[in-house]
Amino acid sequence: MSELIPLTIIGGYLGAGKTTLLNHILRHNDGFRLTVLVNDFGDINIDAELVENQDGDTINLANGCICCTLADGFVGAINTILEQNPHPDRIIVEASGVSDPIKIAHYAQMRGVSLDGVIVVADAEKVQAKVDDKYVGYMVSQQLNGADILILNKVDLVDQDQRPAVRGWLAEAAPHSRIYETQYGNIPLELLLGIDTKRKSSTAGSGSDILPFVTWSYVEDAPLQRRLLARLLDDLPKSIFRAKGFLNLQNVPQHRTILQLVGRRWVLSPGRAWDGEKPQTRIVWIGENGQFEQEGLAAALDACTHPS
Amino acid sequence: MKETTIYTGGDIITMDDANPQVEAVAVKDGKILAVGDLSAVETTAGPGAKAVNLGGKTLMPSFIDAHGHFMNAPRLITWANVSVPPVGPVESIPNIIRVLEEHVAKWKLASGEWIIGYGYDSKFLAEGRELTRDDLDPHFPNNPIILIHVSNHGCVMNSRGFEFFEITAETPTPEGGVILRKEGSQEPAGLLMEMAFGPVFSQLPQPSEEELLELVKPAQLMYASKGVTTITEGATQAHAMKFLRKAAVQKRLFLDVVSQPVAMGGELYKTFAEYIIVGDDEEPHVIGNPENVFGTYQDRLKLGGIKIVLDGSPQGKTAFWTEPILTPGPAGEENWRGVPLLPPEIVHKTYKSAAERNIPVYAHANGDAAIDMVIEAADAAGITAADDRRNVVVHSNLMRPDQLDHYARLGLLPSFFTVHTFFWGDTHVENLGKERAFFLSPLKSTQEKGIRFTNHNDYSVTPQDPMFMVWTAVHRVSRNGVIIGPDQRVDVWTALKSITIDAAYQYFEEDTKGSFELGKLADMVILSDNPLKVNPMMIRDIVVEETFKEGQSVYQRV
Repeated sequence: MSELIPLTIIGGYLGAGKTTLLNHILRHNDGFRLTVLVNDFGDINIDAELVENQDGDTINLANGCICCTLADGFVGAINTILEQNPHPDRIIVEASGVSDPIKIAHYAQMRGVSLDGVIVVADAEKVQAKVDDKYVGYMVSQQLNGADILILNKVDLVDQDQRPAVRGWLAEAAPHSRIYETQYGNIPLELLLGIDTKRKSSTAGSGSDILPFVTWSYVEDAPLQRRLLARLLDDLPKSIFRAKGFLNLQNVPQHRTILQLVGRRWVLSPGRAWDGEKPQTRIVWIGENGQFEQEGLAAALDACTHPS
Repeated sequence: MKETTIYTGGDIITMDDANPQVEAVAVKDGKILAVGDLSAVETTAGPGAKAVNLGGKTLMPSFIDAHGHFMNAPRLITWANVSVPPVGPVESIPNIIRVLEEHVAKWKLASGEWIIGYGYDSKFLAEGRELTRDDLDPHFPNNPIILIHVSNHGCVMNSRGFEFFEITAETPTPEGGVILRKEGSQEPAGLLMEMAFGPVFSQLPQPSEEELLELVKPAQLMYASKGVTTITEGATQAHAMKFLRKAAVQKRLFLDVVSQPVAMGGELYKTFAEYIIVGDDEEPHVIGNPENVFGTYQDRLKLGGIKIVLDGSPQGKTAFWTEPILTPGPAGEENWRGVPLLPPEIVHKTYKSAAERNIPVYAHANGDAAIDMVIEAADAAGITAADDRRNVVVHSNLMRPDQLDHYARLGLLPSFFTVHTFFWGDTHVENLGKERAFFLSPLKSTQEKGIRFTNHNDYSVTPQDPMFMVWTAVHRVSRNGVIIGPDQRVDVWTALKSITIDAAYQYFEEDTKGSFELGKLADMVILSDNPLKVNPMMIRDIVVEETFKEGQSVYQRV
């Protein structure tokens, strides 16, 4: 059985900056073969030199990415992708401005794909008014609430002294989400797409002016207690956005356990057998620079090796 | 020169308010030559005119489908109808087996070919349980079967069907889905619902374009057999538009087809690529294109407006209301009001852009909040009734009384859906309470405001059946026998107008269709009985004897 293709859903209300974010991903993607599903090509602005060819609903990019419209619906598009060989490394779906990304996420249980995370873009200037809107308020609050990672976009349009208030309000509106402030959808790809060995290089963000996050590895030989680890993952500081790695769990000594964490969402799944290799836990963490207490997290993880 | 034909010898209903019933009608060159007393009509027709005696049957203008989905017809007519009455003949599991056996014989299905059925609903089966693969397998060991649930959210399959999709005891049940299992085992029993059904349906083998083109004529014949000679394709996606144009150019259309290209989700750009430019911020700009002229028939195909969809359906609890419904939402939500399917910004821009280019907007809006969005958008675009744009609010099913004044002021036309009173009237009372439910498709109040309205079946949501539509407009009786809004019932004449002359008006075709007046097209239907004279409860039993498109007979009952 082939590996499941990770699926990232990008949601958020009309004008919040979903398309800008997608353009940013396509432009700065390096090494991932992404298939991006969009509502239409109208707003997708791909650098001409990147476009290899366009065939109706599909644009092939020189960097190995493919951009498709959702003309045949979401399920139809996924079926088409699964027929392709090789499979893309990741599928990114742009949810319509008035849809609930969580509902799309349910489709990720289809064969062949697995949900990586739900990223919702919010317009820092307008999001509060949209939540109060008599028509779309409910949907916008659903979107915010369902986000694993919330991109608070266009923060440059909000007065400096107002920003903490907006952020505080958002933290209450979406109590479980990780929040990341940005402008022009300018956000490090590792936060959006995670760390992947298939990537040629790891770029610390795409603009040199932002260095807001840090990656850090945790390596430990002693087996971890599943129950303690689960509690720790549930209560992680909100400055931690992603984690990925192999675990040496005490109750499954034969094989690796894969950890995937995006914002509040984490999944443990069985990995390859150790097969004589020395069992060892290796986790790469991504968190906000300056907010990320490496020592504290390391100590908390170490504590997961001791039976309580 | 074609001969002149005089129709007489039965009731003739003209649908002309000034001259409702006449003795005779003469037809020449596909048009109405004379209407009136037999002697006067004979004089106009001149010697040598052929006379057709109606034999006591009733002649009237044929029906105009004000809203429906023609593109569903070519496939659906090749599917077995396993619906309960009045849509289909099924009341028990043996009935289903019989219908499927007849279907296999009719379409000469070979071993291995799919048997597809629609309308399955265990709620009304005598056995009081779901149909299972074990019911189907002994009779159909070699053909995969899928019977689609009446909600379109599920299906029942036999073992060959499960084999095709590789659904086994090991297949996990997806979140938000149902795989009914055999008792005491993990083996799928037959029924799949919601998230378990979606992927199956999307992977069902599709007929080729050539096969579908061959079905365009039989699909029109289905309409003709119900007396309909102007068909609506009321949400045309880009690929369907290409298909319809191909069918038209190949002269496969013998009835008129009005298409409204739909702008929704991924279709926004694609559907309109040929005549709408999508600019910044997803704004659709409508532009003309010589290949796709709005408002004129080319090879019997006309673009009659653009379609947008603002909400879902009230029975699916996906309509968009201002006040919460009384029951939980589709996922068990409390205080559920539904959600809009388009942002107000897009709705506003659509009305403005379309008005600038004289293209009518067909807005699907069922709940009053969705209707508020339409009213606000039309207002913002500066539209008034004096502009005569004939923008149509499709369904207008659960509007508020105050919204009718806005319809009158803005010139919005409602196209109602009165068969709802029968199929879902009881559900609406449960979800909305009597006061809101009884204002469903408020024909009488609309008429009293002087607003013209049409009525539709929304085929294939409900069967193509104009006489049943008239029956529901006149009686509004639910399945349980409740009159859904007694004060919203209208007389038979008004009900007939909504599917003839007023539907012609909706399409800017009142000068050529919808009534027997000099020079109009001889689009006519002969009915077994006169709906104005028959016992009103029997209107639904009236059958179509013969249908004419521009004087040519296109259907005759065997």
